[in-house]
Amino acid sequence: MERGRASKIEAVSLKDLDRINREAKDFGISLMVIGGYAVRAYTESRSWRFTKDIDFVTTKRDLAALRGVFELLKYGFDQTEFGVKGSKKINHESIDLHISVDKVIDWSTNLEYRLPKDFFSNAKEISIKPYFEENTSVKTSVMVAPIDDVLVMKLMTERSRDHFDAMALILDSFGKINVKRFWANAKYSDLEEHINKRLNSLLADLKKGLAKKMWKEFTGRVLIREQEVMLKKRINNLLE
Amino acid sequence: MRKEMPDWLKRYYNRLWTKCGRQAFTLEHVMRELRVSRVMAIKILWELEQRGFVNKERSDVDYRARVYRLISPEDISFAIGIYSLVEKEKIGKQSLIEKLVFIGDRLLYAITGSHAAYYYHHYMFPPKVVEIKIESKDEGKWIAFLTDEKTRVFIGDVIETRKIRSYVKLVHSSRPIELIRTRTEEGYYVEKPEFLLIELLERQTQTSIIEAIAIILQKKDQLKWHGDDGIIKLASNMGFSRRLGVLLDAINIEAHKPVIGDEIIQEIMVDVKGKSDEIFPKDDVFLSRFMELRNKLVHRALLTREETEELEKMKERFEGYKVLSEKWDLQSILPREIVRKVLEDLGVKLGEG
Repeated sequence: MERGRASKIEAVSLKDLDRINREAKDFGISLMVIGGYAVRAYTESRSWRFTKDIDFVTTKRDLAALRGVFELLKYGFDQTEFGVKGSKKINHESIDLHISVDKVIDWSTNLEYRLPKDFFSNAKEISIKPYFEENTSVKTSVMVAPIDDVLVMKLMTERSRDHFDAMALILDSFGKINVKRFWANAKYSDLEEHINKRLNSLLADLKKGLAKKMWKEFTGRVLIREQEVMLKKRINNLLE
Repeated sequence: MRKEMPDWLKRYYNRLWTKCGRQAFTLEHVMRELRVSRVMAIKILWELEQRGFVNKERSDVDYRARVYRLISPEDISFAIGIYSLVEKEKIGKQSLIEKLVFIGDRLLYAITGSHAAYYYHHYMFPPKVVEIKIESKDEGKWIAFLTDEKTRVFIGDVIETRKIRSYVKLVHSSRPIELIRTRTEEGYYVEKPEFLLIELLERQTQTSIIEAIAIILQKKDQLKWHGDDGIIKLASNMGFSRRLGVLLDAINIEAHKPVIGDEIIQEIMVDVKGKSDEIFPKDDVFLSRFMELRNKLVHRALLTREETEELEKMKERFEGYKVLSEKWDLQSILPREIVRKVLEDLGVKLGEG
């Protein structure tokens, strides 16, 4: 498939995302974007290396109403190992929506992130920047999970892709992180020790040059010394 | 952007070329050799850089430190000649892809790496850096041709913090470009999937492994497996048969069905001879994490039972394909969830784990 068709799929998914967001708001459904699109909302465009699929989180209470919204937008609705999956075919391609319910389970560790009570009230509507130049006119605003929660979810896994995302979040949006809430959320899911170890492991990665390698792998660009120093300082701030 | 140089810039370029040729130089060199002020030297270099007539390299330790190399007069003439063929109203407005379509067969190239992989798998968006395989003799021409307001071209590491629409990394091809490339419907060239798969197996980073799996799943019926330029032979020639075998077997294991035909795997097996101490994938992060766990577990006496159990569990993540390690006589440290995630995302129904 050529680039033109790929950009059309992105245009459809961004428009659907915008519509899902509006419908969820109209129906009073708690629905937040997490995963790659959330990272995209909080970071500069250099760190985009995402799949076209969209990850959401909702509550069990809102699941039935959400089904109606998905059907309205012609998405199938299936139960999966970790929640619900919505799927829509566009020619031979598909856009998949992965919806976690009340908690987010990580594939690589089987650890759970339980949504804190203030999760939905702390979310913000943020615009999502398109990947393809052709889609710059597509304006998409969506309710995105708070950065504190996104960061815990990214640090909870064993995947280096997620660790890179965490580094990008810390570098680009450190000012938006509520350190107290970040640790309270980690504690709420019994992940305090795990996150502490992970942050220390990121510091070790910086020292060993592994952070630089991850950065290059996921952005194609070099993590310069100034960025390394800033990252180290900010991780230490989180650990204080 | 127009490529022509104003007369004052031509004079400075010619003097610099006479003094430095293709040798690397710094801002201080320019000040000294051209006997100009710092401000003027910066202006000269900036004007040349904007036109793509000088290649700039930064240091990752000190971002402000810069080393320059001039593009030769012949390569500049080539770029100016090419630009003269572009319709006036299109100059400066062409995207990178449009420029690649425009250059056609005047310079040989093939898009490689993640952008080429994305063309085949449409799974994971590539980063902003576009890797292009070229003939080494054309390097200067490419820099002069591709550089514009929206594009910066790099030969080595892409060290740039400034926001720009496209970053291009030029890669010298070890094989004839015409052999490895295919023309897309839109008119630009990408590396053929068979050669690209070998390239991804050679890189063996976490991302390149994911991309290889995604290409195999999305294009398995169109891939050329047999013959001199087929995947099996190419892998064998590079000594990658074991890696390929493990990857294909891993896909079949996770799918619980023969996504890849057994006859293909058997044919790869024929090329696997002798003993190997290979670890696959040699991804720096995987390797470091695995070695760290192994080293910690050596000192069991110093660990509590809980700590040992936790470390063992973490180590198991890297030993999920023990059967394949034995079958292909290498040490696989590929975590199973990496393969499973791609299969799940691309709609391959997974069997019981």
